[in-house]
Amino acid sequence: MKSRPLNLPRRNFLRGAGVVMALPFLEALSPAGKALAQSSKAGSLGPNGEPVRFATFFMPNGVNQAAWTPGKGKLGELPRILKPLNSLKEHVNVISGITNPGNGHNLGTASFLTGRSPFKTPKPSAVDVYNPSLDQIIGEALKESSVFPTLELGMGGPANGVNAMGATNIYMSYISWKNANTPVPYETNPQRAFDRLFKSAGKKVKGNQSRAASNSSPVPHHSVIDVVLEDAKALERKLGREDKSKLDEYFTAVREVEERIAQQNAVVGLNVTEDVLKDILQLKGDIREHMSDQKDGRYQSQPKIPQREYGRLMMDIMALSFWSNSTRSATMSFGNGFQGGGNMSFLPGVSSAHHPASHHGFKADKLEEFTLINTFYMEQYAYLLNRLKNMKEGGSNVLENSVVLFGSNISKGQVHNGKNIPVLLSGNAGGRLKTGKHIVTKNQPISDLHRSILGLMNVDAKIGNGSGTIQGV
Amino acid sequence: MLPLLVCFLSAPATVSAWEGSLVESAEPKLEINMTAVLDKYWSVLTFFLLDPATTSDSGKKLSESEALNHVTVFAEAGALDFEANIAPILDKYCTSCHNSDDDEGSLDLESLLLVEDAVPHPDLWDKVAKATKMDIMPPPKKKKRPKPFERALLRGWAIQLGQQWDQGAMGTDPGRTTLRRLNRNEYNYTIRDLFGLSIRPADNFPEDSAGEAGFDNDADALFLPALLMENYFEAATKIADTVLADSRLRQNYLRGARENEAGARSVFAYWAPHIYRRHVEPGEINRLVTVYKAARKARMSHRKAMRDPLIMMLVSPSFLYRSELPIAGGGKTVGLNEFELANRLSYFLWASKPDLELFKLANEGILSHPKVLNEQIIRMLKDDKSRALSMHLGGQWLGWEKLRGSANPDAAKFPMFDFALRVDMYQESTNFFDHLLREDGCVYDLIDSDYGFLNARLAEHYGISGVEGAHFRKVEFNDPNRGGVLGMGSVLVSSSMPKRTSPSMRGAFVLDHLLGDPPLPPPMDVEQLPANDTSLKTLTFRETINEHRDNPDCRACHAQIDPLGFGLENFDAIGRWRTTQNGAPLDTSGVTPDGEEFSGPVELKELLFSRKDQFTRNMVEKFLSYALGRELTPYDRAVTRSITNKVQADDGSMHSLVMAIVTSHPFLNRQNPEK
Repeated sequence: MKSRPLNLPRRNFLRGAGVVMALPFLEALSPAGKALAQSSKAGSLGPNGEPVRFATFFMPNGVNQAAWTPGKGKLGELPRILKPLNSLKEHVNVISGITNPGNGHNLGTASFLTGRSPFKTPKPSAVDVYNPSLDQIIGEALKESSVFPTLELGMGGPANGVNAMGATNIYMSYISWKNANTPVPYETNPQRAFDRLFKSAGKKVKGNQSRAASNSSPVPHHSVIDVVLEDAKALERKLGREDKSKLDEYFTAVREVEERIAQQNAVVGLNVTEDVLKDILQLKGDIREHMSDQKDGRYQSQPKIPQREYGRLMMDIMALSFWSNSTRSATMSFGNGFQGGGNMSFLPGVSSAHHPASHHGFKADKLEEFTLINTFYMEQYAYLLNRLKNMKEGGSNVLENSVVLFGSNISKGQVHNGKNIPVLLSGNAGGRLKTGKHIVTKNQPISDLHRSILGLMNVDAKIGNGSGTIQGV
Repeated sequence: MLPLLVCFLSAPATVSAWEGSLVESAEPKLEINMTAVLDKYWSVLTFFLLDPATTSDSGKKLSESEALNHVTVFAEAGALDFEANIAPILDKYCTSCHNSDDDEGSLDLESLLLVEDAVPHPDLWDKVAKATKMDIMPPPKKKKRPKPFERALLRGWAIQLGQQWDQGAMGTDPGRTTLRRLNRNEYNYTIRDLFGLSIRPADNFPEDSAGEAGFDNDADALFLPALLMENYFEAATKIADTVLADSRLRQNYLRGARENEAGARSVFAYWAPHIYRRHVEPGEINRLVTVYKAARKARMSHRKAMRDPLIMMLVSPSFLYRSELPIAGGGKTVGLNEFELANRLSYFLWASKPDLELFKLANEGILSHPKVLNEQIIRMLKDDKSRALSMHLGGQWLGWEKLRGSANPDAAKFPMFDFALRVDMYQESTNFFDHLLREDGCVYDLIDSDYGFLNARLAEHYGISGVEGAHFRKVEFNDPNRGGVLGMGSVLVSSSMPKRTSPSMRGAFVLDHLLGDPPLPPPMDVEQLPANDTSLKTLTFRETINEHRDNPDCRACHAQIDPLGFGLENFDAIGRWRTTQNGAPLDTSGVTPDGEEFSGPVELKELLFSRKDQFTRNMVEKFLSYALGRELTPYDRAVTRSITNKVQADDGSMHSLVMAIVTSHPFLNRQNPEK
C-alpha cells in the first residue's frame, strides 16, 4: 500500500473546513501515513518503519490452570481454554511461572502493570504503587511518535470502599497508574472513546456554522489556558501544603492535555489510508447501533451493551487506534480486579457472576463454569489478535508490529495468590519477538516480564525492583 | 488478703507470668481508687492467679463470658496496664502473622506493642475485640490459641480504649478535608443550578472512585487524570455554547449589561463569585477581562468575546475544586467562615452550590447563627434538591446505587426484571429516604415501617393490590413483612446473585450496612455455593448452606452472617414474596451467636430494633463521613457517639440527625492547614 506524508496541519484544516462532518480530517487527508524516522524516541519500529505498539488485555480472577497450561516448547495441541487461539498460535507465546507480587484481587490488580506490590493502606490519600505502570512508561517514552501517548479502555466501574484485607479498593480498580500515587481511569463509553480518537469534538452551533468550525477544538486557545493557569497559580499560592500537592494533579492534567492537542496538531505519521477509513466508518456504525438505546444517566451509570459485543467494540477501537497510528500504548480492562464482567450467566452453561465462579473449590461442575468463562475471554482475546492481524501495513500487519499482553491479577481463582498467573505475550514486535511457544520459567516476578517488554519496545526505563528479564522473550 | 495484694503490687517488674503483672499493672492507676477496684474484683484476681485457665472461685470452669464480664469491668475501671498485660498476649499469639512484614489482613499488631502506639488506633482494636469475642483468631486450626481470660483481657482493653475515645478523653480535632474536586454528581447539579441547564455533562466523565466509607465524594479518592481534564474542557465548551446559543440562557448570562469592557466586567463580577462560590478578588476579574479584550481586539463581537471567559471560569480550579484556605495566625483549629459554611452545607444537603439565599445570609454574616442555620437546614431539606442526599448518600450507603450499575439479575431466569422495574425500585427507595428527609421522618422507619412508596407495576411485583398508575405514592402496608429497607427491591436485588438469593450476602449487608459491623474477610481458599438454587438435587438450599458452614474456618463468621440472611429468604432474588423454594417450604428461622432466635422478616426487624444503638451509630457515621467528604478519624468517635445519643433521645428524628451533623465540631470547624 502506498502512503505519503501528511501535508496539511490538522488544526488548520479544521479551521477552514466549515461544517463539522463525520471524520473530517480523515476524509480530507487520506490516503496518508508516514513511516517514523529511527530515533531514540521512536521506540521499536517494524521492517518498514511502522511503529511497534503495546497492548494489554486484562482479565481478573485467574484461570482454571488444568485447562490452560499447554505442553512445553513449540505450541501444539492447545488446552481447552486456549483453543480459540488455534489459528493464531504462531503469533502467541504462553508464559508460565510468572509471579504477580501484589497478593489477591486488590493489590494484584495494581501490581499487574507496575510490578510492585503497592503500599497496603485503607486511605486513598496514602495510595502508593511506587512507579508508573508499564503502559504509561511506554506511552510517555514514545509520546512524540503518536497523538495519544496512551489509551485506557475498559468495562465496568471502579470498586469502592476498602477490601476485606484492609486495602483501599482504588488498587483493585485500576491497572494503569500515571505515577506512584495517581491511577488512570479507563473510558467505558465506546462512543466517547471513538469520538475522542477519530472525530473532532467540535459541535455545530445552530445558525452559525463558521463559528462552530472556528471553535471546533474541545480545548480553548493556549493563550486562554495560560490565563486559566495564572488563576490556578494564584489559588495555589493561598493553599496549604497538602492541598498544593493535590492541585498538582490539575497542573499536570492541563499540561498533558495541551501536549496532546499540540501533538494532534503536529500530526506525526497518522495512517489514514482508505482501508483504515473504511474500518473506522464501519465501527462508527456499529457503535451507533449499540449506543442508540442507552438510558437516562440518572438510572444507568455505564453503557448497557451485551458483554461480548461491548468488549469487541472496545477492542475494535483499540485495534484502530493502533492501525491509524493514533496511539502506541493501550490497555483494555475487563472489569475491575474483582468483579470482572459481573454477571456471566449469558454464557450457555454458566449461571454465576465472574467472581463467585472463580471460587470453584475444584469441584467439577463449578470448575466447568469457570472454564467456560475463561474460554469466553480467550475468544475475546482471539478477536483482538485477529483484528490486528487483518490490519495490513507495509508488507506485514499490525499484529506483527505489536506486543499484546494477556494476563490476570491472580492465578487460579480459588486461591488468591499471584504465583504462576496466566500470561500470554502475542504479536511479533516488528520481528523482535519470536512466538508460537510455551516459555516455562519459575517464580519470576512480573517486573522481569515488564523489562522484557520494555526491551521489545526499545524503551529505556526502570520498572519494579530488580533487573531481570524473561529468557526467550 | 490484703498483705498478698500488697506483695503483688510491689512485685518487681521481672515477674514473667502475666498473671502477676496484672496486679503489678494496677500501680500507676492507683489514684483512681485502686483499692476499691481491687476490692471489688478480688475474686477475679484470685482465680486468675490460682488457676487462670480453668476454674472460678466456686470451682466451676470459668466460661468465656464470665471471664469477659469480669475483666471488662476491671478494664473499664482503668486497672489494666497495656505494656505489662496486653502487649505480651499480642506478642504471644498474634504478631507472628500480623507484623509489618507479613502484614496479614493489613493488620500490623507488632507496631502496637507500646502504649503510645496502641492508643491512637481504636479502629484496629475494634478488630481485635471482634476477633477475640468470636474466638476466630488465631485461626481455629492453629494449636497455640489464647485462653479465655487472655481473650477477655484483650477485649477488655480494646473496649476500654474505644470508650475513652468515645468520651472524648483524647481531645478534639475537626480533621482535614483535602482540596475537594467536584464529583460527577456535584458537577451536574452545580451546572444545573448555575445556568438552569439539565444537560448533565458529567455523565460522560469517568466514574469517580470512592474512599473508605464507600462514598464517591471523598476528597482523597477524587483524582484528576488527564482524560477528565479533557472532559472538563469539552464540557465547559459545550456549556458555554449551549448558553450562548439559547436566547433565554444567553440573556441570563449577559445580564443585559452594556456591550463593552465595563459591561463585560460587570458580568464577570456577577458570575465569578457564583461559579467559584466565594468572594472573588479583583485580579481574578481582571484576568477574565484581559481575555475579553483580546477577543474584541481580534474583532470579535461582544457576545462572541464573552464565550472564552465563561469557559475559563468553568475550567478554573476555583470552580472544579472546593477549597478551604489556611488562615495566618489562626491556630491549629479554625472555625469555618460564612462562605465555607454555606458551601459545606449545600454540598452536603444538595450536592450542589449554595443558592442565592445562602449566599445572602453568608454575606450578611448570619448563616452561622444557630436559629438561622436551623431554619436553613429545614428549608434545604424540604427543597427538591435534597433528593441528591437520598440518591447518593442513601444509595451508596444502602445499596440502591448498585441498581445503576452492577446489580444485574439473570435475564433469562428473571425476564420480568426489565429497565422499568429497575427504575421503579430505585424510585421506591429514593422516595422513601426523601420522605424521611422532608417530613422529618423517623430514621428507624428504615428498619421497619408500615408504609412505602409504590406505583402499580412495583406493587404488582410485590403482590400488593389496590395501587393504580405509574406514579409513586405513599402506600400503607397491611403486611408487616414489607416495610423498611429490607423489604425494598433495591436492597434485595443488590444483595442477590444473578440466579438466586444469597443469605450470606444479605446477612453481610445487614451487618455491614445497617449495623456497621462488617464481617471479617473469608479465608483465601473459600468455596462458593452453587450458583443456581434450582440445581440442588438432594439437599434443600438451606441444608447446603449449613453443610458449607461445617467447615471450621467458615463457621464462626457464617454463624454470625447467615442467620440474618435466612430471615430474608421470603424475598426472592428480585424481591418477590415467596413461602416455598423448589416446592419445599422455606425455613426462614435463624439463631444469632448470642442465642437470639427469630424467623422471617418481621422478627428479624425486631432483632434489629434491639440493636438500635448500633444501627444509629452506624448511620451517624455514614452521614458524617458523607457530610465531611472524608474518612472518619478516631477523634470523630466522640462526635458520632454524642450525635447517636441525641438522635435516640429525639426518637430517631431525621431532622435532629441532620442538624446534629451540621452543628457538630468537625462540620463547623477545620484544621488550619500549614502553608
